[in-house]
Amino acid sequence: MAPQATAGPRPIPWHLVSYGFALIVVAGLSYFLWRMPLQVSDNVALIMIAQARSVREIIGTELRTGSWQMRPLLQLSVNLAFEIADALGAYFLTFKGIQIAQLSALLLMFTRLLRVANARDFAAACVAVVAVVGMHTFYSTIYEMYPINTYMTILVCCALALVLADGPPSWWRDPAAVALFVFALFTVETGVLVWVIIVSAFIVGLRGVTIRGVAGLTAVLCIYLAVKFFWLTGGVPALDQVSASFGFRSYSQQELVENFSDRRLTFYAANVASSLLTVLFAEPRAGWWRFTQVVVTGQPVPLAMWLYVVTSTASTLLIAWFVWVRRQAWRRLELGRGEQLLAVFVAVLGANAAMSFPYTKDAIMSPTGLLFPLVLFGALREALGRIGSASRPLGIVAACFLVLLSFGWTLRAASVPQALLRTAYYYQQQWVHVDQWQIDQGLHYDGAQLALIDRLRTEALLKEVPDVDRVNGWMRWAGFLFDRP
Amino acid sequence: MGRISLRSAVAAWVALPPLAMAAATLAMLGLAALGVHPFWPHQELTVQEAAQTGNDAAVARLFMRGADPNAPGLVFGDSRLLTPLEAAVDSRQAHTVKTVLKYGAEIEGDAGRAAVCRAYAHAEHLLPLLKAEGAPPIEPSMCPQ
Repeated sequence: MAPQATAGPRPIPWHLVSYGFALIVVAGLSYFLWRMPLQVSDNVALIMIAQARSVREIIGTELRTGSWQMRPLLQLSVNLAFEIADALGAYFLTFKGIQIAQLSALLLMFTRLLRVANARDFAAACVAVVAVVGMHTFYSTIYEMYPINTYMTILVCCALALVLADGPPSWWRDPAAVALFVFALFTVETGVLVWVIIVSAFIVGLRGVTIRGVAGLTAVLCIYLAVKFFWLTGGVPALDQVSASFGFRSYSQQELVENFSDRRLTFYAANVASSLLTVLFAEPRAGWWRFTQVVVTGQPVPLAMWLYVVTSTASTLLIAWFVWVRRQAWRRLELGRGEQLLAVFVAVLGANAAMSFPYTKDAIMSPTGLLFPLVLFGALREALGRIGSASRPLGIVAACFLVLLSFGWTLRAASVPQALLRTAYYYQQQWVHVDQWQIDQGLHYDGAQLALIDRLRTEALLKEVPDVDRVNGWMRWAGFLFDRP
Repeated sequence: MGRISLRSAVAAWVALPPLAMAAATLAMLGLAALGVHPFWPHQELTVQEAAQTGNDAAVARLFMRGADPNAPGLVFGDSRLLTPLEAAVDSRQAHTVKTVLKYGAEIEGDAGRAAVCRAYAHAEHLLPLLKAEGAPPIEPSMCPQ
């Protein structure tokens, strides 16, 4: 009888534990998303289009109108979702199911990108996952539905692009990357970030998508730009298309024209700078320097504003430290995984900010906001690895800093449900007055469409949504911690 | 060895806040599965309470579930029984008054008179709306003190 080998304790599968953590976060958010009715504005009109127009009509309209926006797949996605909802006879269930599926896919792909291998990685991963949810750019991707949130769609596409780039090359990755890029690009303009991610990843050595795939993506981009700028008569949006913020206030469309017609470049540059800074420091928000304004005018700074600015700034400082301690690797171009992801982040940050020049808001920067926690993970991991080598006083200071940072991001993430409940309450009230809304918007629908609106209204009103101003416990505290855009 | 322990301890403390959030989430989901919602008092409002707080959606939901649009009931902070219309006037919100009327609250007769008196006391800006919707034209002196 052969002697039994003495087996040590089985190693903990930390990567699976991190997936479990991500799924709990998804489940918690989904619980609140499930209570949130579909919104009326920006949603009902699109569903009515889906009911009234065929796929061919939608593509034709997109190409004929010559709009500066070219988003045929946006309405097609809504159409497809509507067809499924119609077949199932469950509109809320379908649209909400898509939202939760997107959220799950996003956080699971994000966790995959972390490549958690040990307990130290897991600790950093926990902070990174709550930072995804706590990022101010993330909230806009889940609280609105049109009825599919386009920004969330692009987030999923960006995460998938990085997953495709981050792996061994194989025959299916190149065509998958091209198909993903086509889908993202013709859904919304920020889909171009899929190209930025894959190309920048390729340059720094993440070559799951090969040079052939990169060439294919670039060809698609050239065709897109040719159609957009040469075939369609559009181009850059005019100043009077959307309201925006600048400095210490917001401007209506008319005010934008009056104040910036002769200095567009200043306005555009301010938007790009605002977009860059908001990801790194949570200030300004949508072009509005709110925190600075409150400080300069001597008003008390709300707790939520402190929380957001301090956690984001501290995280950026940690990332800056990470770059500093790895400077030799940068000089020798010996890029480890952390450096590779940081380089992709910088490329996406620049491209994303540049694309926001006509106007900026939190949601537009959400792709960069997704990569920020990924880079934060690398910095945290490095810091946790070095903490034992530091002198005792420095080690204690660093440990306190990291624990407080983790606490700050957790508070940000844990306050998101309160904001979701508040929005849910607001959306539900909208449905009571949807008839008046149609009159105000000058919308005229036929009998079938009105019957559908009535159905959607019934689905929305029968949901139990608490009045968030009348809740107690954690939800009351969370109201002070969420910095609403 | 001591250094390794320090690393592990710091990593554990860093993971603690997110893990506490995850534990709270699991507890919340478990309780929710049992019909208990720990983050808010999950008690159904009466239609009068919903109207008084301007919660149009809850008003509509309760009417859709068969609540009587004219039955008096208790509201927050008042010992008297109010009809949904009176409670809506208490909310001082025109949209809530319209919601209650849309779902069948009577505005003529005694119900309308009571609502107008309530408006004289709490929300005079709603008087034109009530009159336009058909409330009896009464003077403040005709209202009970």
